Amino acid sequence: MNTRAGPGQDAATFNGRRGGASVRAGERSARLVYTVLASEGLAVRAGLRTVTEALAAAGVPEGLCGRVEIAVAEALNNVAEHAYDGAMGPIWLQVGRCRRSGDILCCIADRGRPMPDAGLPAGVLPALDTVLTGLPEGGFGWFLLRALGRGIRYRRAGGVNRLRFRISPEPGEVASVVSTAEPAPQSCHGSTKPVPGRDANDHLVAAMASPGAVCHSPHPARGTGD
Amino acid sequence: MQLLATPAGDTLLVRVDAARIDAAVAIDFKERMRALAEGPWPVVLLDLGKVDFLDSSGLGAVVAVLKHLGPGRRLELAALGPTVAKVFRLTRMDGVFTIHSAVPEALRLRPAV
Repeated sequence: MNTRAGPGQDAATFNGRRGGASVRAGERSARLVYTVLASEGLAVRAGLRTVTEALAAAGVPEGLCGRVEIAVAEALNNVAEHAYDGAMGPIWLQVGRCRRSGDILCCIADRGRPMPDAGLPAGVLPALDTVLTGLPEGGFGWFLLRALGRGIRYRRAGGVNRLRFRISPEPGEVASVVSTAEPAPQSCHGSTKPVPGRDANDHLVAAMASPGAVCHSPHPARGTGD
Repeated sequence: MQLLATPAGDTLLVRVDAARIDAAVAIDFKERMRALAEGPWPVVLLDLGKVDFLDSSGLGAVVAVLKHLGPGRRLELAALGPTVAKVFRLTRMDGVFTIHSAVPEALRLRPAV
C-alpha cells in the first residue's frame, strides 16, 4: 500500500462542497489533537488516550470528553476493521474545539477501502426484543457514532476516506477555565478567509492542507483516484 | 487482561482488573470469561469498577458471555463508570442486563474460597 502522506495538496478537494449550516462561518476554534496512528487495536487505544488527555488539559467537561472518546473509538475501529480489513495502514486523526459552541470537531482520514456504496452506514440499533440467543454481539459501532455525532460527513477522494463529525456539549456542560496558554485562535476555516455556508468542521479540513497538519489530504496514490 | 474471580455462594464475582474493554482485548476478554464461566455458579457478577472505557467490541464481548451462560444462568454487572454506563444506556443494553450500582456488600466482604 502506498502510505505517502505529505502535506495535502488538494485542499479544495478536501474542503468539499457539502457543509452543514449549523455553525456560522468565521467561528473560531483551536486544534487540540493532531496525530497519525496505525490501524491496530493498541495504536487506536494510544490515539484515544492522546485525545482524552488533550481534551482534559483544555478543560473539556468530563462527560463530553467521554462521548468524544466513544465516538472517535468507533470511527477508528471501523477504519481498522473495515477500511483496512485488519491490515495495517495509517489513520490520520485531528480533533479541535469550536470556541463559540464548545463543540468538539473530529476528523479521521485513511487510505483503506471506501465505504460500501460510498455512503454512511445507517447505524440502526440491532433488535433487542429477542430471545437470548438472538441478542446482537455487533452492529453497535455506527449506532453509537450516529447517536453521539452531529454533522457526520463522509467523503472519498483521491483514494482517501475522510470522515468528520462534531460532538456537542449537553445543556449545563460548561468547560472549566481555559488556560491562557492555549494556542492562538484559529479560524474554523483555517488560515483562509471564512467561506459562508461551510460546515465548521471545514477548519479541520482546511488545516489539513497547511504545513505540518496531519488530517490533511494525503497525496493521492498513483492511479487510485476514484 | 487480568480477571480476578471469587466464588461466593451461588455467585461467581469476576473483577475486571483493567481500565479498558476495547477492540484490542475484546476477544481475549470473551475467551477468559467463557473459561471462568465453566463453573457451576448460576450467577456471574462482573465488577466493572476499574473499567473506564468500553467500546462496541467490548459490549459485544459482554453480550457474547451472557449468551454463552445460557438461559438458566445470569450475567449481572456492577459498578459501571459514567462512560461505560453511557454505552449501555445508548444501546439500550441497560435493559438486557441487571446492573448494580456497586458490588453488593455481602459479596465484597465474603472471603475467597
